Amino acid sequence: MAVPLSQMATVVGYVVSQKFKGVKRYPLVLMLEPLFRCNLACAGCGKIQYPEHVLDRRLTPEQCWAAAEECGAPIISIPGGEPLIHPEMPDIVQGLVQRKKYVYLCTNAILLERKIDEYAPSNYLTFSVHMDGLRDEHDLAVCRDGVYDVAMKAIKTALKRGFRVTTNTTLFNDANPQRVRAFFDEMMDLGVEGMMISPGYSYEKAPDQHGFLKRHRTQELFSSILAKRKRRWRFNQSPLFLEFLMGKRDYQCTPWGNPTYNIFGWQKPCYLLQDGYVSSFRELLESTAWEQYGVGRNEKCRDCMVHCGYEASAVEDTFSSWSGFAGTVKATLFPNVT
Amino acid sequence: MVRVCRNREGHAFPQRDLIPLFPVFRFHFTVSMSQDAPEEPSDQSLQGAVFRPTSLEELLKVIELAFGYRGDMTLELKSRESINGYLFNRVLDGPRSYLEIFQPGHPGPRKIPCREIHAFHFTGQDTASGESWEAWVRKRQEERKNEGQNFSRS
Repeated sequence: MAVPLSQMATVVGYVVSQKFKGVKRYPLVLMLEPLFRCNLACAGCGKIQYPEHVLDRRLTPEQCWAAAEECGAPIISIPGGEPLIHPEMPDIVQGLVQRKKYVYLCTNAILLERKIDEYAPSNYLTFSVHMDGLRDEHDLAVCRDGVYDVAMKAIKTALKRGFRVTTNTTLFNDANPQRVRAFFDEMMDLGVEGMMISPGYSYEKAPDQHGFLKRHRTQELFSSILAKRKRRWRFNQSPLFLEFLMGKRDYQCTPWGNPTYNIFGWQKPCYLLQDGYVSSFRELLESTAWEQYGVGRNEKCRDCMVHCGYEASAVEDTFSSWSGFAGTVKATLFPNVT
Repeated sequence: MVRVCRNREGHAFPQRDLIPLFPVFRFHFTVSMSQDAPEEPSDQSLQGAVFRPTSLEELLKVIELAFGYRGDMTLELKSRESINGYLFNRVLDGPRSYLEIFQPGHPGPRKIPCREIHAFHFTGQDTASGESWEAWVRKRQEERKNEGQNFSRS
């Protein structure tokens, strides 16, 4: 199983309670960006293009904890930038774990071995290591040779120390399905708990504007990659989201499912688009014109199939109807049955 | 020196044309780049441009350009004060509209009412410009080629 039962129970309990309360828009994963500075400059990343004085700014632990409490999501993903650069990251993580939040600390793992003693293994903490494929593909994607080997070594160390480790993989239009499948085998051989995959989003500010996937191409690619799925591959994602990537399901985006908080405030409307900032989560929910975003509603959303918009849609589908629930069970137990 | 910029149609124009300003939007600069026909970000950079909006419509357009710019701005206020920093937010609410800017060395953001702004100077380096993926691939291929040549010599 790709996720511990305790985490699954927490998420199920949370979603069901929101349903009982009649909450229409509820957050599932808080995207907490404590800084934008990174020790890599990946071609497909549009997150780090800021002046130096902005890259020097960081959220304090108190700001991070307050955002987590205000938002209430059971899962907190900490991307960036590279979170391990933040000198107070161990405090931030410890405070979130104390609040019983499931933390996914996203890292390129360059600093992981050096910093790993600052963290304690916990059911609530997972290192989510950025791996965009096998050695050649990964080093090309992160625009630096040698990073794949560093990350592999760091993953082994983290696993040996008893940490939960997952991988997160962004795929672009040059992805080779057979190589991606071989990469899944390699990650499973390493012993990671699960894998997360997603197509890249066409950031306006990313240096590589040619590599982003169009919607139809995304479905073709993921159908090839996930066809005849091996039993041993474990994905840390909703099985319905994987079917969505393969074109078997059609969802509208759920941008409030993964709200984003960073040094600028609560980001409208989602993790990928920057349409302005507000100072509270409540204001984000109430003042965002949600109906203006999503496929068919906004040109910038046209080709987006990224997990931060659609994973929550898939989870909502699971808990909204018996057919969604049955579909989830079927996709979990029999992923290769059409 | 006159730097040559390109508009979305690819026509070159000298940067100094931007300075007298409006009707500057004949150049059709937009915040977002076309996803179907991507262009080199450096060709579209607004770095060095100056805008002095003379109407509400022009002001709103320049605010969107400034909001999408990944570099520092210098805002020239009607009071003649100059404010330099990174414009990260705009709240458009009629006469109460304001911009939010992070200034170097200041811990918190500063709010600037839009009605007080006289000019927008795109002074800082456009951090989203240049550093293209293609340049990295070229460099990598060159390094691999050199490695191969060194290996065959040794």
